[in-house]
Order: sequence, then structure tokens, then C-alpha cells
Amino acid sequence: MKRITVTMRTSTTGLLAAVVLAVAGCGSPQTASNGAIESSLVSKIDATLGGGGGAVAASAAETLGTPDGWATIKGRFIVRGNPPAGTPISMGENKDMCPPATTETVVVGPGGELRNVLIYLEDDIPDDSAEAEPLWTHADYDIAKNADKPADELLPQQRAEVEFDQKNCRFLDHMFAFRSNQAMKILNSDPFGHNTNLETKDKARPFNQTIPAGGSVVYEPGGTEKRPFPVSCAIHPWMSARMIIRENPYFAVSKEDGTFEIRNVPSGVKLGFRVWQEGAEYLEDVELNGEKTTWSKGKLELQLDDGEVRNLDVVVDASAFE
Amino acid sequence: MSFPDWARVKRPMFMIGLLCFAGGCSQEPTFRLNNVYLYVQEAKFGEQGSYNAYKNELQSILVSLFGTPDEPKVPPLPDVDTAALLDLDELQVAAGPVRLDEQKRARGLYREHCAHCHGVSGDGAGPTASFLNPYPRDFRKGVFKFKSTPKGEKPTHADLHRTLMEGIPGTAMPSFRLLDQPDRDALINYVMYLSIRGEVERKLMEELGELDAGEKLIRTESPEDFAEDVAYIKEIAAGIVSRWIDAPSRVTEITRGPTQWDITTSRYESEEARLAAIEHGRRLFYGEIANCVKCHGESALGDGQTNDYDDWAKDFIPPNVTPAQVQELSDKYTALGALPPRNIRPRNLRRGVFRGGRRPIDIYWRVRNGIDGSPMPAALMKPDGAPPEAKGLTEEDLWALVTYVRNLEFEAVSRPPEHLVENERLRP
Repeated sequence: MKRITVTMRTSTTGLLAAVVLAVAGCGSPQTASNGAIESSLVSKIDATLGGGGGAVAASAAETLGTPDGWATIKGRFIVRGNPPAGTPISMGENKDMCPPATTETVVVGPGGELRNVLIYLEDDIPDDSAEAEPLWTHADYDIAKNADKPADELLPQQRAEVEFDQKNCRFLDHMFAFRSNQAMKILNSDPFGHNTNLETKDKARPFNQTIPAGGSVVYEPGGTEKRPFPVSCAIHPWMSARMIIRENPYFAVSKEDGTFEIRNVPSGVKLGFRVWQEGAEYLEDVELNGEKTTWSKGKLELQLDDGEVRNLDVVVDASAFE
Repeated sequence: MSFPDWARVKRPMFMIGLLCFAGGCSQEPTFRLNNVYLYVQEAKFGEQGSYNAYKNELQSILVSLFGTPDEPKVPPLPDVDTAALLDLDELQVAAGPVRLDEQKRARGLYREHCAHCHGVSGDGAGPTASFLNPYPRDFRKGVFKFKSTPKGEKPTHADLHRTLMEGIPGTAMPSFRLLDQPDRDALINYVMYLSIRGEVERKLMEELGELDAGEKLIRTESPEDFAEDVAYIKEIAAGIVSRWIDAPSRVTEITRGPTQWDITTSRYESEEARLAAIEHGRRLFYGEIANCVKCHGESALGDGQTNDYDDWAKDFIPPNVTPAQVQELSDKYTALGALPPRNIRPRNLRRGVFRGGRRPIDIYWRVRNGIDGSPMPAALMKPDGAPPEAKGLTEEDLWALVTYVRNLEFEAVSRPPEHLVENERLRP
């Protein structure tokens, strides 16, 4: 009560001003934007925390079923309308005399062919390619078995080592995908130095190293990435690419003509794919084989028949890139 | 109504402030939500304003895992011994309001020594932050610059302790040598805790991009879904904690020093040897393999590549945006709590001020491993047994670079200009 006696001795105006100030200080509007703690949810989570260990994740076979064969997914991405054109890049101080370039966020061909769309199997499946009769990862994708074949006869997913190159201050692959059990040789085909910064976010090893003119370095990811991550160069900060690292071989990036193909996909099981493009992030509202479809967060679920060739003709409206 | 004079007002104001501080406010202090990162995710994956709906859930998950600024918690996680990394007793010494315990020992150390710059939430946005250049570190990204481990690895306890002991030269970060060792340990523990908490928060926000409209991070309808979602979140947290636990095993060990180095005196054996190392280092500095010159400049004044950003600013500034777009993004995110982005400057190597320390081993680690969170890349090392024409630096090369860089401040050109006769003033 002594505290109150002290304040009572001062003028009421002072007290009022002080109270106003104090109240304003306590309940700032930031609290509202900060989110409230829902004690019911907290106690519910707390109750499950005590156990220590997390729930054991069900094995892929239990949740996904058993595949009965192999199928192929192929298709093409086309943009309808006028997507934003690449903008000229401001290179600032450009001591290496890099040639002028434009951004590659959205790259389309003359007929709207959309390049650099990534389609990948998101579900975790077992890598059983080395087994006698694999069900999930086709034996063609067993990297060890393919080791003595010439690289040009192999799909990128079948090689022990893939190459990621840069020339004219540009990453030659703007969207690049490879497997976590592959090595990636990062090359520099420019007559001056670069540094390649892999800004991984998930389980793959981050990497940022200088690569001298004509030099190269081999990167081993040691883990997968759930989502595409940026690749950059600090010496030429406008250089930009996206990359994803998956364990399974079921992914593709659409080529210059907008087409892609994924071979030997397990059939007879439901598989969850994602479709992603840098300018649109996940492709959501599309026309699939002539029908309007919504892929929520780019999620596309496919169940294929043995021997089937599933064709995905995808039309994306230019508004997706706004 | 006349306003009473200051002397009469300030005492009751102080008392009310004190009341408020001592529990007069109904609310316990809470960690500030990482609104910048939340809305960066929203801009990528959601409709504008749609991510407001996740705030309560995010805060609630984080409170159940990590507690509050006054009552920290160490969550039990699968496959990692979180309690061995984060000692709850030490956290309690660092956490909470500034106070004395029964034995009159200082408690609430983080708020006493750190929070004014690094913020109660470890967001690097305490009240003093906007006055400082460089800004205080935001721990929540889980990225630390000055450490003995390679890119992407966490710092060790010893790395953070070195920063506390030495401070960070050239910045506002002071030395905390005057604290007792247990107090410093408690603070390091608490910084790790804030960093882990903040990184979990970011990962949860990244997960939002995967959810369908109206879906929640934790589905509460069925007990199975609930358990599955909580387990998934615990796995995310466990992944981060395990990287901290692994850090000591990732340290870049020094296998050898320069040849012609006298280990007993920590000097080159002869002045000739030292000068030869400097000359070798100079060639490497300007050469195309180490390529230091590209960013640190022909002059080594740090005037090479200067228009890049650090990884904290890159959270909301993507590459290849125009100055007008940078301004627009800066306005949007500073309103949400970010500090105005600044270009990151390569270090001026002629000052002899090195933020991560100027011992040879400090410079060695920076060159060998790069600097996390900054554009500074790691050196390309020549693999063992590589043919002589293979590109890359040897251990000997690295030490030569270290010797060269450490010597730059003593070059004549690094000294301030000699006084000029025309500037002389005669005293009256």
C-alpha cells in the first residue's frame, strides 16, 4: 500500500498521464499481430510430448501399397497469354565484362512452351533398385550397375555424377534436379573465377566455394531437399538458379520445348507429385488435357497402370506468373 | 489544465512503470513472432492476409516446445539428447527478468546483457539495434559467422565462447570477459536455445506452403492425425538439435602450420621465410584460384563487389530486383519488424580489424571455410593426391594467404596519409 501512498501525493494529472503511458506500454497492438497462445492446444501438445520419442513413421510400403509394374509419365507445359518477359539484369560494377542478360524467372518459347518446370515425386519411396526384383525404384536407376556405360547413353538420373556448369556469368541449367546418391561436378567454363553458393535448406550439405576459371569441384549432397533452393554467385550476384535434390529418380525439368518425360515409374500405387516453376511457385490452376484442374499447392496425385504412358498436356494461364 | 512539472510526474511514472514491470501487466512476456519470415512465405505461397490465421497455432506450438521468455522449456525429442545440449538449469539462469536468487546471484542474464541489442526473442532487433552498424545478429536463422566448422555446420560451444570473450572487433559487440565462467556458459546455452527455437519457427513457417487452404499444421480432429503431426514437428526440431550436437565433431582441425614455422615461438623461422610467405600470399590474393581480389578489391580496401546482401537480408530481397523494388520490399518488411537492409561490404583488410579475430587460426578458418551467412566463399582446396596441375589451394597456400592478409595493415599504403605541409597551422 506504500506504493499507492506515494502516487497519491502527486497531482492527479500526473497520475493520469502516467497511467495512460503505462497502459499504452503494456497492451501494444503488436500483441495482436503476434498471435495468441491457445492454452488448450498447448496442453494437448504437451500431453504428447512427454513420451520422448516421436511416433514411428509407417513404412512406405504400408502407406503406399505395393506396385505392380512400371509406367511412363510424359507431357508438355504451355503458357496461354503473355507471361512477364525477362527483365534486363543490372550488373553494376562488371569487371569481368559479362555479356548482357535478362532474368530467367519465366522462360517461354515462341509457342508458349514453358521451360524449367519441375515435376517431382514428393512421397518417400524405398530405394530398392539394387535388389533382385525392385518394386519401387526400377533397376535401370541403379547407379552402380550403370557405372561402366558411357554417360551419353544414360539418363541424368542413372549417372554416378552429373554436371552443373556456368558460362557467360549464367548457370547453364536454371532449374536443376539430381539425386542425393549422385555426385554433382560443378564446372566453371568462364575465363574468370566464380563462386557457387548452394543455399540448401533441408538435409543436403550447404556449399559455397570458389571455382577458378576452367576449374571444377565435386559436391556430394549427403541428403535430400524437400523443396527447390536458390543457387547464387557472390562475385556476380545477379547469377541465379534453382536446384532440388531427391533420393528417388522420379523427377523431370521441362525442356526448351516445354516437354518432359519420367520413365519407369512404379504403377498400381498412388503417387504424390509436385509441380513447381520459379515464377509461379507451385502450379495450381491449370488445364490438364483440356480440362480445368486445380492442383492444390502444386500437388498432383497419379495412379498409373502397368505399361501405361500417361500424357500430361498442361496449359498454364499467364496470370499464374503475376 | 496545466501539465505538472517533470519533477513531480516522474516519480509516480517510475513507480507505475515498476509496478508494471513487477507483474502489474497481466501478460507474461512472450517471444515475438517472426512476422517477416511468415509474410515472406505468404508472399510466395498464399493469398495476402491468409497467413494471419496461422499465428495462434505457431505461437502455441512454439510455447509447448520451448516455453516462454520467463519459463524456458527443453523439449524431449526423438533420437537426440536435447537435455545434454540445453541445460535447463543454465537456461533458467539466463532467462527471465533481471533479478537476484536467494544466494544473491545475478539471474536473468540474457535480458541484462544481451536483449537490448539482440532482442528478447533473439531476433537481433532489440531497442538499440537500428542504431548499430552492423546490426546485432538475429539468432533465429541458426547461422553464425565466426566459428571453426565448415559452411552449414553449427558453431561449437567454444566458438560462441570465443565471441563472448573477445567481443567482435569493429562492431558494437563487446567482450564479456568480466562475467564469471558459469554465467557465460549459461548465456551460450541460452543463445543456442533461442537459435534452435527460432529455426524451428522458420521451418514451421516453411511448412505452411505445403498446406491446403484451411488446413492446419497440427490436425486436431483425430488422435492419430494429431499424433502424426506432432511427431513430424518433433522430427523437424530434432534435426536442428542434432546439428548442434554434431558441431564439435565437425571442427576443421589444423593438420599443419606453414613450413619454416617455429612452433615454440609462434613465428616464422626467419624474416626471409616470412617475407616469402607474404609474397606467395600476395600472388594468391590476386590470382584466379583464391580470387580474393574480386570482392576485397585491387586495393584490399573491400571495394570490389559491394552491392550484394547478407543471407538475413536475402530472406526478403531476392536477386535481380531493381532499387525501386528493394525500397518497396524494405518498406513492407521494416513495417513488420525487419531492419532496413544494407549492402554487405567485403572486409577492408588494411585496417587490421578482423571481426572473427586476428589470430592466424581465425583467418585460416575464414579463408578455408568461408563465412556463413555472408557471400564469402570457402577456398577451393586441392584434394589429397591430386596431380600438380589440378586447381586448388594447398595448406601451404592457405597459410601464405593468412600471413599476407595479416600483414596488410602494416604495409606503408595502409597507414593514414602523412601530414602535409599545406595543412600545417601556426599556433597563434
